[in-house]
Amino acid sequence: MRFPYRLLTRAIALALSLSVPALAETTPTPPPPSSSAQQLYASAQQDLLQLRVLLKNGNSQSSVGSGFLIGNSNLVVTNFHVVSQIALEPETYFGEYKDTSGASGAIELLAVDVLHDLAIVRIARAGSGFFKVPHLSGADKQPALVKLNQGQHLYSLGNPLDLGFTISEGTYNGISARGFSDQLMFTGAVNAGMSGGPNVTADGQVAGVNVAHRRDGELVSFLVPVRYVQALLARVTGDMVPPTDFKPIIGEQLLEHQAVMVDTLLEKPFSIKDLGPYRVPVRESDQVRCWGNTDSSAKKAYTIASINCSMESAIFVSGELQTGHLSMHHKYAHNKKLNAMQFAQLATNLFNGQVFSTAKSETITPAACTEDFIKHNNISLRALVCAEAYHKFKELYDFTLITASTDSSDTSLQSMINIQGVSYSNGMKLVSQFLQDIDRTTATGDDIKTDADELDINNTDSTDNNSTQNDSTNNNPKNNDSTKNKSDKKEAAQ
Amino acid sequence: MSQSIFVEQLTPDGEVVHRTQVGHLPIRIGRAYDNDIILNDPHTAAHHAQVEFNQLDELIISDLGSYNGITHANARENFFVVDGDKIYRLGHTRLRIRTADYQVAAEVTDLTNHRWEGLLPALTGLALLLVTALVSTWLADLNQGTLSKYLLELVSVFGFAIGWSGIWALFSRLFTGHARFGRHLFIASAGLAFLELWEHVSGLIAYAFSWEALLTFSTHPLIFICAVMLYFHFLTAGNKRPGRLKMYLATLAILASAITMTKEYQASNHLADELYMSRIYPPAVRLSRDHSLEEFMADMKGLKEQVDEERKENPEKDSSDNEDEELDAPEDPNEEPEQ
Repeated sequence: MRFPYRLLTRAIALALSLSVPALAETTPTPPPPSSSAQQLYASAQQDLLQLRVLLKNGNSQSSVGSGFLIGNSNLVVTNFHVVSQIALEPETYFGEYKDTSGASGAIELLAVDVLHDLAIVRIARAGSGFFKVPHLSGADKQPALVKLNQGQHLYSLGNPLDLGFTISEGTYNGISARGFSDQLMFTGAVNAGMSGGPNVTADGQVAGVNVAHRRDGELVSFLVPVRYVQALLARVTGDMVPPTDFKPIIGEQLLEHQAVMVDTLLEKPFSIKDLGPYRVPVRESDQVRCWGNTDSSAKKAYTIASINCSMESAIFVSGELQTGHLSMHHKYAHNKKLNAMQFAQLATNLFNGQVFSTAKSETITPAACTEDFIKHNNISLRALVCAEAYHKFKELYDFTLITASTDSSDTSLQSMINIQGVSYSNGMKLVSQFLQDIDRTTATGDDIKTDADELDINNTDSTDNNSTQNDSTNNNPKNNDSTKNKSDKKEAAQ
Repeated sequence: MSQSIFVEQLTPDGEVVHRTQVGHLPIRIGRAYDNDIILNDPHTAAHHAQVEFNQLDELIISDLGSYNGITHANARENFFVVDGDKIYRLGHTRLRIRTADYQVAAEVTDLTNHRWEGLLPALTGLALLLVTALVSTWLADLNQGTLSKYLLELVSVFGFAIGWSGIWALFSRLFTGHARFGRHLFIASAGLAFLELWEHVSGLIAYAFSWEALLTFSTHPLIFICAVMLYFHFLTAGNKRPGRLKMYLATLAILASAITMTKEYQASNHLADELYMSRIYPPAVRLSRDHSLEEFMADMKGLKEQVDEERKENPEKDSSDNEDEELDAPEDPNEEPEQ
């Protein structure tokens, strides 16, 4: 009877020894409260707001974010994605604010800047003057703003996850050029619900507006630079009459953005990459990132190498609609052991099911498509292009082009370009340029000799690709980021 | 003149259930046991009708005062002059009366191939199925699968064909007393082989001539092949009216096509099953001409009108919304310059 007791005491000892480090982790010695953060929060809390978007029908909340009063005015700056539902469906949604003392009231949307994810709303209360953004109404030249240095301490305020108002400390880390407009990188916590909250320097000057964070990283957050806030404030006055319909305004902003975007994309000719005997266009720049992948295990009867390029930024318009995006994909299949009909089946599988049309979307129309066999340069292709129009925004379209090479029974090149939210002429420009640049290095190899040559070339290629495979697996998570980043923004709104 | 008279009880379809030969007149018909012909039909009288000669020496069937009477072609009469081709209804009982000198119709040529029964069609069908399944599995076998994959495919196809034919054989057995499993198996196998063949032939033709519709509307030919298959199953199961059967099956096929198209239209706004021709074949198959990039871009330009047309509905709704709002807030005019 003694033995179990001994076992029990041992077990308890073991459990204690295990739990000690865990306890040490969960209750760290509290760091001495940063005095500047303490002071900041104390003086900022009056002008800090939580903004909620509620359903008119049922009064239940649909999304929650943060905002802050500018100077002594009744204007509140927040993210567009926090209030997008009010802008797009004012008949279904309305907004409400709640401050740190628990008081609440109605909000009124005055202006939006979809590209930089900013919005200004008006409330029936004036600010205490803590958050200053120097601006001149309607003037072209705006006053100088705070200068930031890398490593400088910044403080983000907001109401993360609807848990209560918080302040988080971090550092400024330069400008991210991944999008078409700059964002500041802030190494500090910005969580969903803090969107639209202010980010300030230690002496209380507004540096930017919390907008997003990377889910795959630690404390990698993004801010909208204050100069865009300044520009938007210059267009708004405290007693203006708000527009009744924001859709044309948003549409215009998107149209303006796509012009810049396509100009930037087509600034230089596409870079040309080799995939087996084929030459394919890609765009590699700050905004568009590419990564490659090869599937060439010896067991398989064929190899597939692919290049995927995708823009890392997209513009959030609503939960269902993110636009201003472009991606390019190339797949090169090379036959090793398959019969010509089987290889054709493989090409069919790759070509199949890439483009869809839906009549159920409230944002885009069903697709209208045209398809043909085309021949240009040294290559012949089967090509399909589909266009979709935006229901709510005039002059904006989505395009998808897919092509499959039809000149060899042993190799197949399949390319795709996906463009979201551009004008029709810009869409045609991109599609035409993309098609124009798809080519073959040698003329169609009908005789066996050239095919054999290609096979050798490809073999060396595939080993090269093998060595890059490690890199590409590292790259792949980055690829997912762009979509995650987008969903972060969406999440931040809720 | 003692001529034999034959009284035949028929089913609603006109098939003879009982044939009674009577050598004397009059013949009394009814439910009572003292009749010459005893009926089981509760809608007839105990002594319902009588077959006899009238004064004009015509053979007649006359009503013996029953409640439900005697009708021919839905007209009730007290008596009818008997015609060997006509059917008289007594209550729910259908009778036909013929004399021994009735002229029967000429012999019908036997088109049924009586050797094409049993093992022969069954084995032919299975062989056809074996070839089809092997070829289609081989074509789709991109990962150079093992033997087990082929066997599994064969077992499932064979299992389906045999099960399906078994059900039809059961029907045949019920209706005609003859299962004809071999024939049903052949019909099912031929149907499946045709479906598979059409899949490849239509793909090749569509690719060769760039006839996209052949592939994007792929369901409808398949429905047609299934309808033809059903037609032969029904015929084998003893259907006697091929004309009517064809009409029924055609209606069914059209209905199935219409449902498919409606469903597609609701989901994607296109009547076709697929948005585009996704089959790729070796270059040797191509017959149609190549288009230039310019032609393709011109076609793309043409799409603008189509999609713009599609987006009409919502802006109209929006503009009506705006009107409402303008009515609510007449002081709005200076909103525009602000933005």
